[in-house]
Amino acid sequence: MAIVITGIGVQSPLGCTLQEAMQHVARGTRCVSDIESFDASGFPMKAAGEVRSEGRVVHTPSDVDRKIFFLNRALEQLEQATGFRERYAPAELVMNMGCGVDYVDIERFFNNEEFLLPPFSELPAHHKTDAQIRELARLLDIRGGCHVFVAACVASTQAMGLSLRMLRRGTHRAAITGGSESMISHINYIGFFLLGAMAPGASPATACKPFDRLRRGTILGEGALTMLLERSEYARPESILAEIAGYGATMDAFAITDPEPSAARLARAIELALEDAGIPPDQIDCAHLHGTGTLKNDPAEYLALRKVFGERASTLPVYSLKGQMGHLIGSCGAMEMLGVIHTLQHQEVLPTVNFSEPDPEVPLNVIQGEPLSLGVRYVLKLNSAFGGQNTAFVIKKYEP
Amino acid sequence: MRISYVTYLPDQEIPVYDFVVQRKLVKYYTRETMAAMAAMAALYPDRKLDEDTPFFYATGELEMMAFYIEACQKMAGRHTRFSPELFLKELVPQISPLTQFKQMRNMTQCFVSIEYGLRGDNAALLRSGSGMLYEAMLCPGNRPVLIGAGRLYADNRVEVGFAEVLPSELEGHPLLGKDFEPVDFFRTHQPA
Repeated sequence: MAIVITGIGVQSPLGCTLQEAMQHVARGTRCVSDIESFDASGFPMKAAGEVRSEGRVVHTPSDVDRKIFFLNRALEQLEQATGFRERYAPAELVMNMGCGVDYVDIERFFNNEEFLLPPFSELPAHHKTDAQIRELARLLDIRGGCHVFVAACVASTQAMGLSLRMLRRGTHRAAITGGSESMISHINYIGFFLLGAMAPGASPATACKPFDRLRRGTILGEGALTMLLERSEYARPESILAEIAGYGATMDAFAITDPEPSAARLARAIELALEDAGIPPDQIDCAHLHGTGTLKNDPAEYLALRKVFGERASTLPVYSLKGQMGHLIGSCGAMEMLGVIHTLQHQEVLPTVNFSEPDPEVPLNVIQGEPLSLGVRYVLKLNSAFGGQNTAFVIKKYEP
Repeated sequence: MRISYVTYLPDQEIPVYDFVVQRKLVKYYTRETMAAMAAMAALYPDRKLDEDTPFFYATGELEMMAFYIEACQKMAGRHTRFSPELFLKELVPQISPLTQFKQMRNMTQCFVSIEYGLRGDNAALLRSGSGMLYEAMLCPGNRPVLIGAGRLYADNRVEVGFAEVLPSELEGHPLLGKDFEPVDFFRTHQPA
């Protein structure tokens, strides 16, 4: 019995259908530009990877929580692609979803003087994440539970991790999982900017440079990716995209913004995922990294690989999707499964967009120019969060 | 199962410095995090915890609204309509990186982990009591697991609970799969 991914719904800077998004993953299309979805005039930075459909940014009114808007659409796509509501009883389904912070429509909150209301008042401008996701689960008649994960950049991968464990144990027969995020709004964008993690630069499309010697930070993105996980004996064989073979999670317990310098706990997460998958390190064919383009993340990932893979850390092909579409925070890990699936389906590691100059402190085998063709059975996927949480997955090419 | 549970009334001061070693980090704490330190000190008075202890925490909503309310109240005397210019001129200067930390919903778990050196399996959830119980129940190995939850109310009242449990203790628990406020688990299970 294996736990397999059998369908995907996607709303992303790369596109709003799975076909469109996968095409842009393969082409390396740059999908970051100046913010269009709200008036960011006067902002010290405006670069963002906004959700696009056929190249055009998807606009929503300010009283819509974009992450819920995209999640709703990605769930609808997933239902259409997999028919999970017809194939499973409501109690057999669980929803585990990664997400970001609550959205407050600051314009409405101010203009309607909601800030003057007494405690416990209904605040129409405050869009509560949990309540909205729970409502989406109710509308889909998912009755096996709805669980929302909020560990920043590993929120969606923690949600996938619990889904894996649930299906293995048999508490549920199928899990709807993934993540949705949008921090492309007044307060959340500026707040993230003030953390100092954003990449400056005149050209938004090239600002985020994972693993590059000239990397200066990351760029915010947004989007939703939902996936159906099933036990292989219940799955339609022709729909299987990949197998989730192993999962590991650890905590740095070091600092809130910086990774632990030795990367010991990130390395431990990799070891746990390998143990869970039942394979030694040399079975891993390539690694899809968190690759934020920040000064401290990228060296930490190299050090973690070095601890687990030894000298091979410098030859193992690696990849990051963030140069293309930005950092999707609460949905990044789930969205980056698109890159993993591309690698498994096409047996190649893609070039990392915006990487051009190797960094001696991050001596990774980052692919440049043309995709690297190679036989791939196992992909390692890493993500790490503000706060110190790490996750690692081993994703396998499904072999019945 | 060992449980601790604390609650503080809206105007009640939390003597957080009595409970923490990492005193420099207190400036980043929300009121929920402060209460969490009190509850952890009650559960682990000797502060001894294996670093690989799995730790799953479910937080509640709301503290982030305090920032919005305060910022808008300051602007309201001089302006009546929102504009991007007003936002940049009046509101942005009031946003500090500390504000952003306090909005991130995994922070209480991270600060507790730093304070107690917890580096094992983990997850941070939002108002998902069932998810917290499933995480603990399905955690690999039948070793003690730390679970916790907190809730900060709109009037500044706060409650936080922690429990040390074995995964096997949660098998078949009636709250698995149910929609419930996670801190209720600790309030209702606390010793009399």
